[in-house]
Amino acid sequence: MRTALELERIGPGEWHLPADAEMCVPGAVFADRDTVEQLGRDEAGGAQWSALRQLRHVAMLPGIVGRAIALADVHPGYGFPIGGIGAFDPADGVVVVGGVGFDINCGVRMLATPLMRQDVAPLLERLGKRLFEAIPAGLGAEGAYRLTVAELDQVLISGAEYMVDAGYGVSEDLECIEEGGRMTAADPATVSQRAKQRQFRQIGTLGSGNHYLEVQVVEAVLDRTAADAYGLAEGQVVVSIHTGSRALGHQIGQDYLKIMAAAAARYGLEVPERELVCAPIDSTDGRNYLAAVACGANCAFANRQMIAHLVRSIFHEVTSLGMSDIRTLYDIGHNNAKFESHTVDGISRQLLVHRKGSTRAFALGAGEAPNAYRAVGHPILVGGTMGTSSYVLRGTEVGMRKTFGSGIHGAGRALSRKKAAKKFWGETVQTELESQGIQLWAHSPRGIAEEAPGAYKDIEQVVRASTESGISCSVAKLRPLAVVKG
Amino acid sequence: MVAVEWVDHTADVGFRVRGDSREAVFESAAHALFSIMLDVATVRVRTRHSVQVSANRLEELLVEWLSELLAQKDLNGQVFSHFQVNIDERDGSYRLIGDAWGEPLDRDRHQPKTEVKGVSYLGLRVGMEQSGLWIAQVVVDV
Repeated sequence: MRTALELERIGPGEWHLPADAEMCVPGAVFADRDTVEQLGRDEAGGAQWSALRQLRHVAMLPGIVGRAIALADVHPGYGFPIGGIGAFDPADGVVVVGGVGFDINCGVRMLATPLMRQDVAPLLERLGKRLFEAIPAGLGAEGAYRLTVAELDQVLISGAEYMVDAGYGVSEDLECIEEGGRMTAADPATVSQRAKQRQFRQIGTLGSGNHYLEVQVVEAVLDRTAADAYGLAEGQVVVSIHTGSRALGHQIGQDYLKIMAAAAARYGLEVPERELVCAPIDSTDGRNYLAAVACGANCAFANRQMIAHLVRSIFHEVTSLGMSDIRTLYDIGHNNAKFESHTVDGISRQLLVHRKGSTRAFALGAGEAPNAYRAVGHPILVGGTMGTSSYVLRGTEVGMRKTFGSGIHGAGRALSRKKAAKKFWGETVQTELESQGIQLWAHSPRGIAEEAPGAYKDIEQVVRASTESGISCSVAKLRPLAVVKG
Repeated sequence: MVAVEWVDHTADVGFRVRGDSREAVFESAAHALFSIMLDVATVRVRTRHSVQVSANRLEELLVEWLSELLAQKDLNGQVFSHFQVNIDERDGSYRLIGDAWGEPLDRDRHQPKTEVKGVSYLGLRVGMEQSGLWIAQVVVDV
């Protein structure tokens, strides 16, 4: 009989999971009381998969530094909890496949248009329809852009930069993508032929599940200085693209699960849960995996770059905008493992930070943000559901100290897909959204039911918890106008 | 008709299948995998894809088998509805030789649902229950 884990409140929106004998470090949860109570119920009820138990498992891994962290959008994942962060010492720590997941560098690209809500209103129906037609989405959808083996290797090396060089974007885009749209550690030799073969037809595809494309309006500006820096104003129309590294990333995840299982056994690493198979960061297996993750990340950057190009083309066709009138506001992933510099106990250290369903969110002054944003901190792009608001937040000093500069990535699921499909009807959800003035363009009615707004936690509450604890600040609230789903 | 017990998982999809042999649960698990992505009943038997995979443990063999089938969707555009496998054990390792029958994905006819991204190790289980029935449990990322 296991003892149920319990969290202790140590401050506004901040909870402590004390370290037991098997944990290397304590855990921390930055969330609202409802979320914490749900975590407690799952634990006490002996739920098959408890996010709190998964957080404890992360805290048991060798070389973890500081605390194992979960944010307000936490829910059970595989290995790491979703909304989980784990930082490891490169000298004696491990790199964990479950800390990145199958959808490597899944993330959000936000495009800022110069249009206001009233400009778009009469064109919205046509805009939604054309975006739905032009952007391949859903099971088995193929992109129009095809690559040779050699070209695909170049995409894995150069990411979004390759697509811009090929004419699908402008160089200014790269300045507003995390890592400049290119992770330099990428080595295509660490990626299997199968992973590459699966990707040939998938550049510029959205996928399915929780991936989406949304035309949104800035409903409220909550931090004028930061919104000005990001170039966001009330009533402005923006486009958000949520997708990842597609089949290439999925296959890298699958391949390395097997490789790391063998590596963990070889290095005598005992893992608390099988999905947490790992290898020392400072090992051939660890280095190869990180080089493959960088390839997956670059593929995701390239994918979002291509979709951004398609979005610009459709806006150009339907509205009076030119291709270069739509600016990349920011592009950032939420499934990744990256080397970063952080101050721990007053000492600056290089750490490998895993973020599984969590967004990197550096505070003001930190490097790696577009120059214009450095005075306010990194934008955090938080996806809501198809019927609720999305948010732009920003990173803070508190976040740097407490969460290794990380913020939430979405609302977080509350209901399983099966339960959601039983509770909601795709057609009914669509009608309800329409009555709220939200157009929904989707390939699968079943997919709509699984992704119904009611299947997610309340985004307002999740955002409030993040700002209450001080790890993030709200900048703008966005409302969906048209939603494209797989 | 394959009886699948869906196991609740907030973000992903878990399932449990039972059968009177380890081969039967491997076949049913493949059926369950494709039923997450589309309406399997609409997938006609037109083409055959042969699979040969091996692993040191039955659980890993199951992941190999399912991920091999999953990859075919992107490699050849194929989806499957009928499966047949043989498993033998030699020198402490398992080998699976199997066939999957189906046809190219038809987005109009197959009623696509959600794409499966990968077959995870979470809660992975293949074994015999006290009743003598075989059971397999899998969680896939969607």
